[in-house]
Amino acid sequence: MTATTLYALAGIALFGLGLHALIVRAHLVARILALNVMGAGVFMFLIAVAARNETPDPVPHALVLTGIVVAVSATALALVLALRVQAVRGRAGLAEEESPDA
Amino acid sequence: MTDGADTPSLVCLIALPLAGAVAAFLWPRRAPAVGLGVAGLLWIPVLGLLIRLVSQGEQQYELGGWAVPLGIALRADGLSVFLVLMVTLVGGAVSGYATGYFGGVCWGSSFSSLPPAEDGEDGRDGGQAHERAGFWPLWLFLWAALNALLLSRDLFNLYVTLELLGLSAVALVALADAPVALGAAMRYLLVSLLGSLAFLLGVALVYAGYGTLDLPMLKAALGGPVAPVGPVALGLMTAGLLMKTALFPLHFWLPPAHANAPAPVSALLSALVVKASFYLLLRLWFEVFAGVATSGAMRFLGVLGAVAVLWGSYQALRQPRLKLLVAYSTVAQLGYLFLLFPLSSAAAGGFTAWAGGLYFVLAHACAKAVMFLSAGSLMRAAGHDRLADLGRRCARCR
Amino acid sequence: MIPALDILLIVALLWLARQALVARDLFKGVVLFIAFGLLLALAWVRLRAPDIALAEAAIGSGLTGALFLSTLGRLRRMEREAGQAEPPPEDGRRGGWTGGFLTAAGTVLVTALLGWAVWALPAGAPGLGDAVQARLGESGVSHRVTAVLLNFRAYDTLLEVGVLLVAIVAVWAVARADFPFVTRNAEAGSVPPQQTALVNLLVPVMLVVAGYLLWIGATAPGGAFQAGAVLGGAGVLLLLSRPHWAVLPERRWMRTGLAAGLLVFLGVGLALVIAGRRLLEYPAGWAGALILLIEAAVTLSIGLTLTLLFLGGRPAAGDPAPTMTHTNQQP
Repeated sequence: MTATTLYALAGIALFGLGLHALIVRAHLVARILALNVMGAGVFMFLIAVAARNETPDPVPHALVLTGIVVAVSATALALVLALRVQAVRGRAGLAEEESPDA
Repeated sequence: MTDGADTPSLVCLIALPLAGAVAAFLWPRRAPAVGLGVAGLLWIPVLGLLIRLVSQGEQQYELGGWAVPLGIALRADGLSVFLVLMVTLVGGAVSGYATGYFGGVCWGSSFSSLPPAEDGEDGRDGGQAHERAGFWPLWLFLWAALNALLLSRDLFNLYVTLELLGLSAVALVALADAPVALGAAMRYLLVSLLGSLAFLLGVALVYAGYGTLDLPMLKAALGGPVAPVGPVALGLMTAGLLMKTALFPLHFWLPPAHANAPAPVSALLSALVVKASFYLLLRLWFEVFAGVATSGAMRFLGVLGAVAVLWGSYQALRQPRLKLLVAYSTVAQLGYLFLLFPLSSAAAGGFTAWAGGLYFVLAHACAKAVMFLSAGSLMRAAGHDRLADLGRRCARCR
Repeated sequence: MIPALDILLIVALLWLARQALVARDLFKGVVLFIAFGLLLALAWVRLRAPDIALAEAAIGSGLTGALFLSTLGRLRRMEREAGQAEPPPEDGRRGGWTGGFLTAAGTVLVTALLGWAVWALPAGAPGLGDAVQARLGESGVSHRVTAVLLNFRAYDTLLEVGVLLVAIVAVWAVARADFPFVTRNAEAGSVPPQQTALVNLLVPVMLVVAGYLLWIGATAPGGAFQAGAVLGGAGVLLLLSRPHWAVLPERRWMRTGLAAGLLVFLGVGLALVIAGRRLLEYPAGWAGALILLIEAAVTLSIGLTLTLLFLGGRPAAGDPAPTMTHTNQQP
């Protein structure tokens, strides 16, 4: 096993950690944090893939740079929405009753 | 396959709404005119592309002049152009409706004298300026994302179009500034981001295993020795796209989001946005990963579709509000679409299944858009959309 | 043999992520997440990705962390105004013990499946590194990541600049700016003068750094994203030291500046189409200059976008409609 494989597997583990927190946490800020950790996991996997070569493959690097900017955009929108949810209902969580057939 | 360097209709289909979005952002007062202009002008490249497709076959455009796999290519085949036509048709109609809806002029001044919705459920009580402020740039970005998604053949580029699509769709839902709509938008955003991340990890696995992001090249590479990375990547991307397409049991976010958005937005989401991720599923399962996808998996998707038809229809009948009823009907209709998976792989009748499926996509897009737009007008007239009281209220409007 | 440093780094990263995600105190969670981001930048250096390390430290950890902290500040203030002395306890999630077990088991199963696919990746390292190297001479820049971002896959970057603009339009549509540090009792003048002095010193330095990163991106790690991120950081510092700026009315230049990146990017692309070339197919000899032009505009827009995203909403005044939104209202 090489260091890059270990980083790739660690990326998958981060994805799993984030996924679990996204499901079990109720507070919106915690769930947005979880999505960010999942994203970091995907990025780590991609960069580990790039590092398999003698000179790192620049394409995954470019993809991750794009991904980081997309992630911060999504996070900013999500946090503002969470604040609006808190403002109109007094707590930053989603109620189960919103899914009318749940 | 013809390279379309001399007629850049493929590029115009994406650049035109993108430029329109920037213009609508820079000059908010002229935004409705910009929107209508884009909706009209788009017919030129659409028809140009259609003519070339019929006369010369599949079109390709290498962006930046770089050949794949280094660069990104746009491609248009029959399926893509069919859906682009559908988007142009429905998008244009909804744009026309939206100028009146957000402008508040087309449906007669008598409605404005009606009292606002008493419970604020529809979020349209005095929030019109707010809705108008964001609608046009966001809708034009959404339009650019739809066209870009339908024409792209590069996996990572598809991820970027999915994010552009998802973020603008969520923001459009949140324009209806009511508590229910904000909660629905938040849930939609979480699902959309989770779906995108699953898709992105699938893309990363593909790149790790096959060293390319171009779909046709990936298809060729998948013909080689089987590694677990292929099916797992397909599974991840499928899971992400199923969330975005809201196939039962991943449909929970759809009814609140579609039912509580402003009417033109509900129409766009139900008619077009969910179809985009469905289209991508078709592309992946039947074209690129055709050798990987097993008939058992196809049957599984078909069963979920069948359950969605029953469950969605049952729930639709139980809803007390018109827009929720229409939204649940979308859940059921999406189920019908997934029947395409087992049917088209059947030995006989594959072509009939495809023709029927695509006809259904178009029919649903038109019908559901009109349905939501009508529901929006009814709601404007009555001030609410509770089914029990709608008849009485509308009788008085006449 | 895996270097001990890498093993240590990975263990620390997983531990920090876990702690950040289970922390009931969200403030603690966010601080741990920022530490996680900084350590992540170190991991990118270990993986020979200095471009990402720069962007991660500035955006992934720095600005994202600032966004989270400012959101928590605003949440707490809303709770105080609503008369809640402490943050309400997080709602329990459905299912109880069995549900929790099933969720955990399901996540572990999915993660194990993914891990197996990664473990069983075929030998050899397919990729596009050689293809990039072969055409690098024609790209107009000598740094490979910049060549991919601004030339070979420039179309991705064009759409991504669109995503940034969508984010700001969306945030403006959803909320009115409600800057956490401008409250009734903490008016503009209450910022400690030392802080203002420090920011006055830092901001010019950051501007120079941003310019340098933009320029160096053609030949070495750096470029529009990193430069834009530093610019955004400078903007956030300015907002923190001059809270009254946060309530300035919306101005024409804001929209122009926000759209400049996409406008120039798309404009260059379409001008080339009109000139008979393809979208973003730079003519030989012009590639370097056009890339720098696009990058300069994109840097400006990224910096302004990140600053205004930190503001968390539409600038306070200057909009015609009084009914826009009402962030301060309680139910």
